[in-house]
Amino acid sequence: MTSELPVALIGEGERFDALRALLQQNGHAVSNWRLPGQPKRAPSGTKRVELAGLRDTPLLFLATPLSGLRLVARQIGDVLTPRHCVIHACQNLEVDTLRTASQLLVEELPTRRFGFVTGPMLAADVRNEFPASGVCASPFPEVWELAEGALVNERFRLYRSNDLVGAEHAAAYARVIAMASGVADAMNLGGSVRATLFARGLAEVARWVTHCGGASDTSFGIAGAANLYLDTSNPGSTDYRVGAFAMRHNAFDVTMVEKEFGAAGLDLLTLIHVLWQGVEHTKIQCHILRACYMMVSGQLNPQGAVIQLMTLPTLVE
Amino acid sequence: MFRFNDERPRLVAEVARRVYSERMRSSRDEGGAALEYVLNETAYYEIQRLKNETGPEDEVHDIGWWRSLARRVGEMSEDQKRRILRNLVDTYVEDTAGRFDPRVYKLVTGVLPVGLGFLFKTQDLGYLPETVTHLRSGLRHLRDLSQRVTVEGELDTLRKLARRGTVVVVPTHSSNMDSILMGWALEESGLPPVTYGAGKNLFTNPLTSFFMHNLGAYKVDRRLSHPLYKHVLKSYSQVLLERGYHSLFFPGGTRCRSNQVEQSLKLGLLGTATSAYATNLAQNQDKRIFIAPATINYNLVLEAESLIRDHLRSEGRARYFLENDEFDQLSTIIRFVMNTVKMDSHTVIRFGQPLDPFGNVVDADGNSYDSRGRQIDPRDFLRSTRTGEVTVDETRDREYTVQCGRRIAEEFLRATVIQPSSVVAWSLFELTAAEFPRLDVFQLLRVAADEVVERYLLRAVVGELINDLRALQEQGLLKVAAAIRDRNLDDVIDDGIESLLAYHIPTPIELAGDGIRITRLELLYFYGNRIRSYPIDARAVLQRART
Repeated sequence: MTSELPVALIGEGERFDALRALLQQNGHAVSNWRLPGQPKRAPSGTKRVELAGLRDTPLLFLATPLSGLRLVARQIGDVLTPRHCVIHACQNLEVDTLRTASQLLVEELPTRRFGFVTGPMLAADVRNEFPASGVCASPFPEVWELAEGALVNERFRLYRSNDLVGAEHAAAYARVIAMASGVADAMNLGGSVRATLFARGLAEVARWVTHCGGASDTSFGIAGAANLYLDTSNPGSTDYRVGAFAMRHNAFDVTMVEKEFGAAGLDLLTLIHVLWQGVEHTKIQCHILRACYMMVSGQLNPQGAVIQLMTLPTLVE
Repeated sequence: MFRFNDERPRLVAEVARRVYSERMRSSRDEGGAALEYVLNETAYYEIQRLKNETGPEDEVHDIGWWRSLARRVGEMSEDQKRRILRNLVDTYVEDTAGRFDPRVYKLVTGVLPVGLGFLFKTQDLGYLPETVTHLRSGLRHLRDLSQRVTVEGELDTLRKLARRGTVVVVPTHSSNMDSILMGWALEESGLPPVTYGAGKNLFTNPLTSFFMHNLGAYKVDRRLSHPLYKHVLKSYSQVLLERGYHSLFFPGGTRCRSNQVEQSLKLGLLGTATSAYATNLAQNQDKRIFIAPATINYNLVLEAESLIRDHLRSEGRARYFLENDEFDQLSTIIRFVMNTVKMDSHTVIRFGQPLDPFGNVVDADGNSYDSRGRQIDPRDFLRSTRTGEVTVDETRDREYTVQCGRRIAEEFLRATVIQPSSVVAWSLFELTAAEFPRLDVFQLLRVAADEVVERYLLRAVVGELINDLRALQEQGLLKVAAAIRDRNLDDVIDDGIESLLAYHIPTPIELAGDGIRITRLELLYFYGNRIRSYPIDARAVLQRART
């Protein structure tokens, strides 16, 4: 049925690989439009198309970093129509505006049918055909159905959510908590602190999500809790490893982070700054984010951050 | 609208048929149980309402009838339940449907070109002998009212769109005079008459009922909150739009209590624009529907005192409608009209950028453009991604309506025209608030009274504020009234002060030597709230003014 629906996949990275593997396993003919700087050869299992070719693929998955998303969207917007459905996998917020990817896409694309797919779906797990899951957040039931038709198989479950903005914010904020967990683990502080960070981190995620107009429950679902659990489990996500790396070097040196993790590392540091800008002048209690921001901006070292968090006044759950 | 009376019986029958059959269909989907739920739910809502209602009102059924229904519905046969549902639907539809009398329309728009003049029916004047002299002089001014209300904005575009499709006018709402004024403004601008939902109180108000019953208005009883009634209202609106009747909704739902530019919109009736477009398209009828946001910018608001009182009392949890406010008091209306028509400043009705039902900008030819200015086919929004067929999908269309609502809210901000009364009221309020930096608004309103603001300080603050407003205007974020734009600072301040002294009793301010004494801070808060809808930093304005 849906395998007859032409699908395009644009982007790069871990999420791109996971989506590509799922689409391949489900027998889709996947078109790929080349981003600037990408190799000329199409990623395996995909067929290169020109920009105009996207006009004939009503379902598009975008797995590009947020920093380049606006430009990509503006270009593909020239050939898309309001009938197209665009599902992104971007777990970041736009610098200065704090806009999520879908909020940015609505400014650049003629269509409104957006979705966000996220969750514990490591590319390696998907490739190895291990069970995995995700959530497709969209206010449009048609988007859920299309995402399910494209991605679901007996080893991959996809949940539905209508809280698009909430899921986007939850997934972005969870990355910060993952980094904090990386710091703690590299300090060999034990499982108790990781569990505390997990629980209190999710509470922070929920507060932020609610502040942004999402539903707090979203934080405790696939987009929040499941992402965070996966990110902090061995071997951990890039965000987790950035935290551990910084701990080992006792500082968040931007140059070193970039050298070690490339754009993905810088992406995380930017996200922390962006989120802190959004929280700083509000009354939302975001102690872990604050500690992370102070570490990233050089105001605290990891040991200092631990002391700061452990000596907070008593809080009520 | 001129064919409305001929078509009315068919229209009423179609709405009733649609509501009834949709209810029956959902009942069948749930094994018949839903019919019982619908009747039980309706009875429950009505019993709860009627327990608290006082005074003689025009009720479909009294509380006893509803109680009896609630008791018996479980034991009724399917036929009985269907019959009751059918009767209820027919009654609600008949009660809702309006009438249009071209003679009354001609009277209102032709013989009384002042628009508001019809409020003064001769039989009412006898009750106010002491005001007759005043009234006569006022009526002389009334004849010039068309020069005192400016209609501006995207009028050329709208005139063309009204010929190409169906126009849905969506204005801001701050007074019961709005629908009357909008009706006049449309005629004055060469736009066609519209049908609109008007509160039931306007149909019972002796001043307005005759016109409401004959100018195409349909009755909205805001006391009825049960889903069956809402279904009737939406279906009525949708059928009107499907048949090409230009319409008017107030997307704010009720008059704005705070006087801030409305940003929290009720989307129920707006959603009928998308549904009507989709339904027509699914039947291969490509009848375009255009949304026309408009702002009504009074220098003074007739019901300001009741509205702000209600806003402060509920602190944001607005009661749905007010009873016995200024609009029910003829003497207050007369005082308002007599005093305000003599003022220099205009009421401005501004039509913003027309949109399609998905919130996209449209040009005069009816073409839609996305946020990057690319021309798009609006039918594509309703096509299935998978099949390319036009489909009717309530959930999808609800989301489109949410997005369209956001665009209307943005357009409200952009098309709002800031008046001198708001500028002066904002400045006086902020100067007073600065004297009590630790108090929030509600504490401030309780304690601050008889403060005197020096005129030189007011002048400095108004000057800085206008600079900020001009900067926002240059960014396209609002409009500054000609009464501010084209005049010097002292004239603007005088105009604002004159407005604030013109109508309200007691007045919100008094002249006190070289200063202005604040007597009713809540009214200054009300008028200044128009400006609080925009990113203006009061502290920075005051700081610049003081230096």
